[in-house]
Amino acid sequence: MSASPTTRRRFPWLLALIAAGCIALQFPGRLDLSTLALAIWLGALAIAVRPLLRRLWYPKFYAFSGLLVLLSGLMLGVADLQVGPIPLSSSGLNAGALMLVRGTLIFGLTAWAASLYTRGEMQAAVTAERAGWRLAIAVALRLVPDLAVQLSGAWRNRRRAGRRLAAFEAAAVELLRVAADTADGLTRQATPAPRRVAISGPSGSGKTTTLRALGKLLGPHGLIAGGVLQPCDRAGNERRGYWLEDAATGERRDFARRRTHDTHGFDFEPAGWDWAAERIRAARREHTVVIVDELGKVEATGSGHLLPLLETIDGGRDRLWLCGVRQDALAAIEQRLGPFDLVLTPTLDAAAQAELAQRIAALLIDDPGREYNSRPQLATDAEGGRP
Amino acid sequence: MAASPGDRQRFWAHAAAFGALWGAIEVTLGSFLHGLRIPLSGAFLAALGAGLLIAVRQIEPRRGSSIAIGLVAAACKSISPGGVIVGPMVAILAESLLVEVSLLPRPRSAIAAIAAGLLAVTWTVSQKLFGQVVFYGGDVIRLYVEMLTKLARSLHLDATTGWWTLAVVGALLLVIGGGAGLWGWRIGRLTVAARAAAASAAAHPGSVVA
Repeated sequence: MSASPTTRRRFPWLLALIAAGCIALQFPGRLDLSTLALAIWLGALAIAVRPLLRRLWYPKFYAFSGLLVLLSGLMLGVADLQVGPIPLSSSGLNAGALMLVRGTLIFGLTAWAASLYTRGEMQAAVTAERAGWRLAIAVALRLVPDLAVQLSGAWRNRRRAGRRLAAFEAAAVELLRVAADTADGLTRQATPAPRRVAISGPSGSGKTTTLRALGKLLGPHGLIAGGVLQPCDRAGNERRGYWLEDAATGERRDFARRRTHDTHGFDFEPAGWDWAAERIRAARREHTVVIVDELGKVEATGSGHLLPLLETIDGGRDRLWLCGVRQDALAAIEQRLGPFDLVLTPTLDAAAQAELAQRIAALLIDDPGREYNSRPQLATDAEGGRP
Repeated sequence: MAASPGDRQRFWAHAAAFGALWGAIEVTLGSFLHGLRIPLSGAFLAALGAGLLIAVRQIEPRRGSSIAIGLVAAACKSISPGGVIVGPMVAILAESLLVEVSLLPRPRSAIAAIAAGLLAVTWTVSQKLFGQVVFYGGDVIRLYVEMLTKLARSLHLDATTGWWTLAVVGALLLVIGGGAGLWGWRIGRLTVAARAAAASAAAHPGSVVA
């Protein structure tokens, strides 16, 4: 039975003072003083929080305490009493009784302290403020049921796999991997997402040229661009391969070549993906605008250039992602990255490009909820931006 | 503890996810074992918890993360259907504190992992005794020592037998706790490798039809 809030909170400071006094009476280790302390405390509870007395009836505790009294009488000190056939020690019984009285008092004190808050109130208290550990607890309380189901699933799979240690280990690794991915997802959710703009069109429509121009045209708006362009190496209408180009410095490297045995495919250089990923990460850390070109079939499957965009970057300054997106992959990329705020058509006309830059800059400046649009922040970006 | 807002978000996101995982283990397996009253179930759960904390330290080596995860897991334990929650909540917090202290100097060392597991399991076993001292005072220890001495005398055992018994119990704890620590260290590294392999496979598409 639980006491009503009014009953629970009657005279809390006075009871706290009485509790402190009762604890002080324990220090000499005398049975008479401890018994007095217990009597005072029970009396105080009877006056202030009578329903709590019923909670003190916990048979298991008193059975164990009674056993301790008996064992103390049997084991401690010299036997100087005879109760039926059993020789007992009065000093041992005294020590046992002291244990019983002390235990009951501590039990009464903890029961009162625990009654100050109900479980619901405690949970509300720890999850009320949306910051730090309180938020973590609130999120975790929502995650537990799902993880409990996954835990049961992993356990069943382990049994199906033949109860081997390796299967148990694999299940544990899988659970840790799920939790780590969940943590990454939570971090992403906690970080405000940058604005996303797509320059979308078919192959050869001028996406890369438009992106390169926009990178320059956004500079006067205080938006400094970094990232990766992926210009095509063409011979007439035929695509022979791709380069990678650092959008901030113009540095280039070879990336993909047409397959010799297959006219429809390209072989990509593995180190090129790493090179591009590093530049995208660096742009997210150091620049306001991150250019990522040629999001296509590879990225539609969730890999390639998309990965460094989906990663969590500590202390990132990226506020706008400017992506070159293949028209046929646009829907799939949006599923991975989230919907684009603007989807623009590439253009080779300088005036049209300037107009696009205006629209993109307006997207950020008209965004009142984002402090990064303030001029001082942009001035800092300009100082630390590309040469 | 992390410094920048982004770092703090990441720190608490990990605490939430792994704390929830530990909480889920405590709520499901803990309540199951508690209901069955299996001996040493507390030590077994402590070993699992310590293993988890050590594994997390291999995945995300941030100072204070063990305490943060323990705090979250203890809060999750409050929704346990098992009913009695204060004891396990204190145990979870104490274990996380011990693991944190053990891993502070060298978070990725196998030796530190073994020490962390050992301390966490030892604490669980001694927590009951500690609780009894708080409730009944130091006389309860005197009573237990006297009981053991009389038991040894009645069984005609010599004085060294007690020490041998203690050594056997210590060895058992060493195996459970140390094993859990080492296992946590190993699965943490396996998880890091598995995640790295998955990320690498996704980041390096070899050839593409374009």
